[in-house]
Amino acid sequence: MIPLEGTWFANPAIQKAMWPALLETLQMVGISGLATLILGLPLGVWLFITRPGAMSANRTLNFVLSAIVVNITRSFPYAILMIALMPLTVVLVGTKIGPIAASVSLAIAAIPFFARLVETSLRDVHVGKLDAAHAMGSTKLQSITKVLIPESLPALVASFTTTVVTLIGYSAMAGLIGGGGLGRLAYNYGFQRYQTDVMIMTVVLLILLVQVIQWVGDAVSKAIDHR
Amino acid sequence: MITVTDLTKVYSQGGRTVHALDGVSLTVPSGSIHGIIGHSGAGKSTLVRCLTMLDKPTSGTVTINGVDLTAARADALRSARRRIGLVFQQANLFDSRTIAQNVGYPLEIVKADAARRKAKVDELLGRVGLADASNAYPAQLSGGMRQRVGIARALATDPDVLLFDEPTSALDPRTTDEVLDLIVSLRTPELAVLVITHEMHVVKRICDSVSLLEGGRIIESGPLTEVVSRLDGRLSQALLGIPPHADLRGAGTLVDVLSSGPETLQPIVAHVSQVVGAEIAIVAGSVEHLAGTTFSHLRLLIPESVEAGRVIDELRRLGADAALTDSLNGTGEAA
Repeated sequence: MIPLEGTWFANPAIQKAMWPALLETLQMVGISGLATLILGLPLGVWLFITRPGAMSANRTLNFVLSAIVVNITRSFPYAILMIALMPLTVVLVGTKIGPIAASVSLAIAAIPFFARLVETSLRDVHVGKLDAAHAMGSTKLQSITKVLIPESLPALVASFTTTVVTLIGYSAMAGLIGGGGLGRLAYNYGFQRYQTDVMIMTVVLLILLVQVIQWVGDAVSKAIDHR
Repeated sequence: MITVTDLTKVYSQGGRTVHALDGVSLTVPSGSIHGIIGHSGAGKSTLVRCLTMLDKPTSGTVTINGVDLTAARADALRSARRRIGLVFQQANLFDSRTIAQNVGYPLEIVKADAARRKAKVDELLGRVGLADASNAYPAQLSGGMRQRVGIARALATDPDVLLFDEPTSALDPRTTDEVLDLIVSLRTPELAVLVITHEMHVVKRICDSVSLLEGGRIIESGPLTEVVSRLDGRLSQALLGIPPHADLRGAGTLVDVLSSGPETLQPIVAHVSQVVGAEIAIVAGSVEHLAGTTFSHLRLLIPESVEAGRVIDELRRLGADAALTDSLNGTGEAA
């Protein structure tokens, strides 16, 4: 056994609490990330196709989605949003503490963020490709699933990577009000108990986590890019 | 066969009403290649978009083998669209798909079974000379090859009409000719081909008939050999134009003479010189071999001592068409 006496790793907060905290963070980011992908992607597509001049142009619907749903949600600082959403969280998952409860507000913050990135990515698909899809007799759904999304997939993967990295940042904040995870560990031990080693280890771990996610995202985006 | 009847497209732009198409009618019989030529802003793009129903025409009809596209809705329109193969200027291939997947797309969306799809894709890629490229991605191909893929894709549903929108405008001259040769090779008795372009070269090289589109209207239309033969026609001036020459006002009278077929081989200018007893100079001219016939358009300088009317009468007697240059609309610049 490696002697830990006198090193940072001797700190029980690091030895015993850091691993579960990391798992909680991953759980929060995983659940909210998945929800964001499932709900944010269609919302982003919807934003795109209802724009004036687009395939399902609908000024009213686009206004509601863009100005009300997306922009208003995005106007909330996350710290306020997560508190404001506590009653909804209780209704949805029965509790307002723990990583699963935190995932609710994380997802609600990230869905419009990701949707906006999706919309921007889709705008970069050359309009001629959609014309081609329509001229060949594609249904709207086929144009979306077989042309629009595959053609912007590298950009969509990059957008999702950005969203997940943002979620990691938010998850640390969610930790403070009962979400758990690395954020709470850093706050409780690193800040409130002046254990600088815990603070530094948490930061290092978060940096590594973000680097790995960004690296994987970039690699996937590059691998599927045939342009 | 594609028939367009009184097609109009009106839209408003910044409060201003624009008549992008103003009563376009034309017929392209199966087995023929028809060119529509016009400058930017003439309504070419709008015409393409209205023919394929990418934009809905304001009025008029587009009929393909008896099926009215303008009356079709939803499902019917989607199947009607498959009667038109559309080839774009920039090919508009899907970058995320291989060449074979691109060509197979029109069959994929109608859920054709995989074996049939593969057979069709292989056949088409063979036809456009890209059998080896089936697993490549569009980004790996040159512009000319991408255009070939675009053509193969347009043919996947065995359309009745093949519509080319500026098919060679993004290509270099050599590749242009390769693609044009390919278009000619696609000619079958069942297929009507419509080529929309601003390049006279395209019309000269592949079209049987041609229409001039300007300001959303068809100004002139007809078989290539016929429109070229009209000395005062805009298309003739565009296709068989007189190159720029020095300003010769004062030196004599300018006369344009147009001859075609066997007459182009006759020394008509020398002959007329003899008859009128004066030397006639050729100041500019162009000779083209179009649709199997040679056309010659010359500009002659008649000395003041000779009456130009006599020269013109004599040229006409010899089977050529002639007119005072001043009487022609424009002076030989492209239409």
